Amino acid sequence: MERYFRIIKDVPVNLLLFLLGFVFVFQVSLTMFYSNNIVTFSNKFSFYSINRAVDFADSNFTTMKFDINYKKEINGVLYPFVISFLYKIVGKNNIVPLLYVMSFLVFFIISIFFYVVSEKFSGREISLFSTILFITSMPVIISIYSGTDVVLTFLLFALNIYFLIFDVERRKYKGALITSFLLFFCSLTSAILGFISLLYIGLKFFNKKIKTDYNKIISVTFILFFIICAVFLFYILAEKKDLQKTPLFETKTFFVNTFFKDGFLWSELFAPFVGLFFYIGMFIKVFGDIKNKEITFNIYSLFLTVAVLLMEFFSTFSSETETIFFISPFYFIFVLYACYGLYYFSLIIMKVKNINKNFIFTGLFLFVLFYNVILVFNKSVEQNNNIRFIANEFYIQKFMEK
Amino acid sequence: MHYKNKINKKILFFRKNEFSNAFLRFLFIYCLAVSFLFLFTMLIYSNLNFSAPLDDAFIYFQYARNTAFGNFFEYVKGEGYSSGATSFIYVFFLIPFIYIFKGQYLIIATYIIGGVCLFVTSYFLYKLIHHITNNEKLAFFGVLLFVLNGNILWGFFSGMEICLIFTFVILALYYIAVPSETYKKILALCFLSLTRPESYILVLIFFIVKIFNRIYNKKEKLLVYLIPVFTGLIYFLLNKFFTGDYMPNTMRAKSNFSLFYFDYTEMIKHGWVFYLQFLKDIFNGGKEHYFLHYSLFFFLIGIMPGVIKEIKNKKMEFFSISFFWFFIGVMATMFSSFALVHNFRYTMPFTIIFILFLVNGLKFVFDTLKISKYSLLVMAILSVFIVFNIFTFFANIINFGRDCNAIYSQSIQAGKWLRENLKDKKVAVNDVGAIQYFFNGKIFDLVGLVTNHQAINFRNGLPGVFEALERIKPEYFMVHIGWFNYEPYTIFKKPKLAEFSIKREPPYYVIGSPEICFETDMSLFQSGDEMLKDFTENGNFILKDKIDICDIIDEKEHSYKIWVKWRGEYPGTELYEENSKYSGKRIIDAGRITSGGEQFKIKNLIPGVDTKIIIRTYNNPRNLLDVFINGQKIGRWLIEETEGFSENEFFIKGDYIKKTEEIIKLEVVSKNRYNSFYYFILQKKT
Repeated sequence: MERYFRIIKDVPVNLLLFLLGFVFVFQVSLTMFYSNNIVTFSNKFSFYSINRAVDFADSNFTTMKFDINYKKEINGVLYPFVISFLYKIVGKNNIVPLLYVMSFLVFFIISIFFYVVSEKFSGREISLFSTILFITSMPVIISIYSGTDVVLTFLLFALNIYFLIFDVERRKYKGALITSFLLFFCSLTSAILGFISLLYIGLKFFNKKIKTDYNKIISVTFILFFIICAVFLFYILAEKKDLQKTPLFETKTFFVNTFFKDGFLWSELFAPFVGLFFYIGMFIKVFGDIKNKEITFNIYSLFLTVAVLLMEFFSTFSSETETIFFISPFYFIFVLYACYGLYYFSLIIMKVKNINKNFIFTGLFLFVLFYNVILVFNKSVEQNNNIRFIANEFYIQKFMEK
Repeated sequence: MHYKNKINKKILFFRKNEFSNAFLRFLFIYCLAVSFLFLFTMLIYSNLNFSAPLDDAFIYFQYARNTAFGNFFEYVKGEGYSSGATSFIYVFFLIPFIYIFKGQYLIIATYIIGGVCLFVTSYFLYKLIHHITNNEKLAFFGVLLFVLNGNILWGFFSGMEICLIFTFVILALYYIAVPSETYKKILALCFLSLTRPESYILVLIFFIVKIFNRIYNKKEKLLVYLIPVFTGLIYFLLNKFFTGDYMPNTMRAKSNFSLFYFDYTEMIKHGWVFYLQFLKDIFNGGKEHYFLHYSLFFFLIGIMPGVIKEIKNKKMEFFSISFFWFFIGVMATMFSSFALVHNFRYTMPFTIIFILFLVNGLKFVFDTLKISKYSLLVMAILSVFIVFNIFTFFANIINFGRDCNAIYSQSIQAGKWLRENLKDKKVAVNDVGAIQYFFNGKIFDLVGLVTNHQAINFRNGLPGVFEALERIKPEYFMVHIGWFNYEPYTIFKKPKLAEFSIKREPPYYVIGSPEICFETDMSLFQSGDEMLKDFTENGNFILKDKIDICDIIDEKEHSYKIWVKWRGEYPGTELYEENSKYSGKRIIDAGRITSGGEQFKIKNLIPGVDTKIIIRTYNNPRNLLDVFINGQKIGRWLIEETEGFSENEFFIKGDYIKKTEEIIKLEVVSKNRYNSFYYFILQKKT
């Protein structure tokens, strides 16, 4: 326990709490503005899990049904399991407000882990800036306050990353293994995250043997991983009743961004060149590993990125899915590498490590922050516009009664 | 040696001046040539007639013509001042030309103004880029980037105020950046403040920045910059004096914040979606329309370091002001349903700030990568931008010609036809620019740009405009059928008198539908003003008050309000015409539909007397409404599901009527929306 308190020793906790508090107040206020002063979630997927939790609790924790109101890529077992206990304590009327508070706490924990990881990954100079960009990223905020299973997935994912970087590097596997296994129970897409983590642990464990025939083993692993992921994601995401009627096949004119639900390099979710810096950061880091025949966290990130790109692609096979509710944990890695790429670029241009004097980095950081704020506002308003369409559904209405 | 140095210095000086003189000569010849080129393009596409690519240009011509002859900002002579000119000051630039060029030839003036502005703007752009980069070649490149951009040239010769904003923005920035006399800065800012409401916002931003600087430096001048702030207020004060509204009609007709009903969050989101789309598609080259791909990134490299440095030094000057002007200025143009039309003309002037720092960003990259100033690589990179621009030139000269042709074929022809055929008639018109300039008759602007207090009707759609027409009673219509399609209604039942169509929708037009002339069939005007069913109980109840819903004037008199159940929803408006099922009489009426409720004042009451409220609905589903008087709930009103126009009553006991005027509130209880077209208030005969 003492170890975890040591983690936050150098973290600017007050600043993070202030920023996260501001985000919390904004999200709650906006939702209440759109729902006639009721604290609610603006998507039906969250209520799928909440209802599942209620039914599970009401059955004395014996039966959890998945016959209706179930989205394979978004809903799972673990999250309703956890909130069923909360429901038993606070009741129907208070479960949603409580989940908002829990989301705030989860966000705080995740941001601390992000800060610590960023400090190790990119250096202390930019860890605070990276963290601010992370906690103001639109998909991160929207997913954390969505009330869906992704909240728990995100928390476990952040913990998993921490263990992968700090423990697995030192050949301590317990924390990483536990969080990896738990990810299998959040949803089918989070199972992929767990799988990648286990794959990485395995590669790390057999690191010395792999080095003897590095290129071949990594290539074969990658190809197999790609195939397994693709097949699995097709099963999860494709609306298989009539494949010809999926949005992808109904597209009249194909462009590059037709193949990605959120645009090429996530261009719909972030400022224009952030995806480019992510690519640059990842390229530099991974290139170094491959050149030195190493298995490091960067290889894990590469596998994760490929998996998420496949998720983006197969999401185009579905007309009803919302990628923010299952891909968002990936943006932990995305922002990490993007900030690294940005810093790397600004160092080359300005040759100044000190962020306060590196005006390129600071300037671009401010622009991305400004862009993030606008994106968050727009998406939050868009999401909250859903409330009036779902408010009359029976399984949602019962939680909205005053 | 000493003499040699002197001679060398003289040669250097001469060379510098030689370049400057050559550059000036080039610029002058280019601006002259391009003015003629666009003029000839217009003439060729319009069959040797004069036209403009935008109808709105003629609005300025009309204001300038009437003002020049003593009718200050009157659009229709004799009807008084109206605030339909987006730019107050542009009209005054046109006035001198009114005495030289008559009728369609006034369009020549816009090429003169556009050409001169292009020259001045380019010259100061050159000087400013030279000042911040200290590089002649890059300054020249920046000017080429500007003057070769077809979109920008389209704007300069559009006949609009766009060229003025470009000029005053660069002048103001130049005098901010380069040490100069304060009066020059103030003069530039004064002109800028009068050019357009958005440019007034720029002046306010400048003043706010000065306030911040003053906090950290007591020597910073501040009060003197109130001059442009107050200068810009002139237009708003004139509007208030003449029309009773500070805001010009153009803002009332187009701004999202002038909608009849809106949520601030929705409007901000709407504007910000456009804003991000604009940054990505236009400035970052996403649509390959204005700029090359990733131009936004170089722009940020060129501006952001300077901004950070100034903020750190607690003295915001050129970089910070440019930054705020660009980002907030562009944002200010986005809160309008017309933000993306007419080749983005509202946002176009900010491209000059973009180009300025795009060049600076390129320079920054070249310097830090230690690429020699005149190396082949630099030339190659810069030439990509120029080549892209050349293609924008070709694209937009075609667009320009086609737009001029469309305006000539429709709006100008329509205006001339009206002059020949309906000279003294009152005509309801859209679009009102070229039509009125060539007709110069008694028009009623359906959109509300040049007719005061009409914009709010326009914001209520066809139904809202119809209610206004019942009062105005125009004898004829000349309208774009895509905007005001009253063809399904009796109002347009008389034979079509003229039609002006275009073969294909022009490039930067809003809607290219046919322009059609009808004589108004007024037989059904005010047909909805009487009750369809008899609720008087053989004369025992008499009519005390009535409210015509969707009639803005009537609603205002009754302090009418409407709301919705859920944020993000909007109350709608509706217009129906049918034979009444009660009397067989044909009626037409406009109304509103909502999920929330309504509130209004009822008047002329006798306290203590039993009262009835009658509601007229159309195809209404079953509804349950809570009824309140002055906040006190008095009952529930069940309105059964009905077809067509129906009327339904609610009885109020006399005990609830305490004053001669009462506030009635209706709140929806059921899940359905309900509509209302008319309210009649009856009281028992005493």
